[in-house]
Amino acid sequence: MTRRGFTLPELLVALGLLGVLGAAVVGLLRGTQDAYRAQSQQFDVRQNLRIAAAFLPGELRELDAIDGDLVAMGAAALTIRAQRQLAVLCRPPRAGSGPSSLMLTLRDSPFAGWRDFNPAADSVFVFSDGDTATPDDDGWATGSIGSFVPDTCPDGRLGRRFTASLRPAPGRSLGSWGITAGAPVLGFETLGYRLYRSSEDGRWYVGLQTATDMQPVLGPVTSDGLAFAYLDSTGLVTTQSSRVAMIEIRVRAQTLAAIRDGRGRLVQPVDSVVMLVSLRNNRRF
Amino acid sequence: MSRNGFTLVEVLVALVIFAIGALGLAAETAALTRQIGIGQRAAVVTAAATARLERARARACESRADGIETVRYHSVRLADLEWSWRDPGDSAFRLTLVTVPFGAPARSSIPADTLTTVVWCRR
Repeated sequence: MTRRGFTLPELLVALGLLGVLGAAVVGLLRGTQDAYRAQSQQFDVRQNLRIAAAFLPGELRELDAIDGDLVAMGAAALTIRAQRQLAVLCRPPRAGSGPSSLMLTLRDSPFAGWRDFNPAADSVFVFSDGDTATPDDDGWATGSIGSFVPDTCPDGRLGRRFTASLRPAPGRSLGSWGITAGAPVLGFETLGYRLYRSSEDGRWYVGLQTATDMQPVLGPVTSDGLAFAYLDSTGLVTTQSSRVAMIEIRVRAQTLAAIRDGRGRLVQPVDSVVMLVSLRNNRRF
Repeated sequence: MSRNGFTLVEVLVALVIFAIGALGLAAETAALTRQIGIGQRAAVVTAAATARLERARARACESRADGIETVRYHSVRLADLEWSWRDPGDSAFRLTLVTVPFGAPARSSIPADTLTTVVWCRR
């Protein structure tokens, strides 16, 4: 009798080989999956660091420490005056209800800004030219603003009027403000960037603290995920805000879940970015 | 006796041809890895050059000194940054920053680079 087919030993050998091969393939796939997980976790970390590298220097570079834009300097928190608007006066100021009160009219256009004026949160600098023949007596009056009402400029264009409570520019006094039509008005907001722990997920974030609330800017980061160092123009650490010429920002972030490293151990790698920002608007003379 | 199939010589020739192709692929992977390495080192050097520019800007209107700095990554020397100032007499100081990769030019070395910028110190 001849029956065609496989013998039992042949079948066993084939099954054994298949098993070995299958195990190898599964091992390979698991390695690939681990690598994929590790990659996507690390992408998230780098994404956070990239936001930090793009966002924080841009916000800090425009500051002028010599003229007081650094309001409070901490190791993991920084409060600054951040410029938000630029507008132009279209009339000479008129006296308001008190000695420090001035009625100012802004042109609707030109106007530049991240957002419109918010009387609850914003303050202004108003350029005080004084003697128009020399820049030596120029300065800025500063103070808070009230709500806006529509107004018309002398040339018939649209504008809006508000009352500001101002301190005179250095060297000037209440009543002799030195403010003329055409004076630029800078709107700014006092806000802070700081490390904080979210009450929602218990993780650490870099947050933006405004007068009214705290918003996460980037994260999650590690519990020591944000560090500021304040350097003078020679690169030495200083605690005097008016001497700060550069700010070093250090952001550390960690993968959310543990991933396998090259040797198969479970780790939560930390990555970091260090940025050095020189303050562009510091006076250089 | 006649059995259909490949002879040993045929199989060997086919294997050699396949191996040449596979080696080509492996070489491509090596080139890719090398490029990634160059990119990483170049990023480290660029970050150092950026920080150097910021330092120069912060100090330029007070004093300007030429200098050289060695950029290392995990204690491996990557490149030298050399910077020099020129004062054309118009209070706009010219800064030239040259990246000199360490070692002989090789397929795995980062490119040399030169950057010139101006720092204004006019009133």
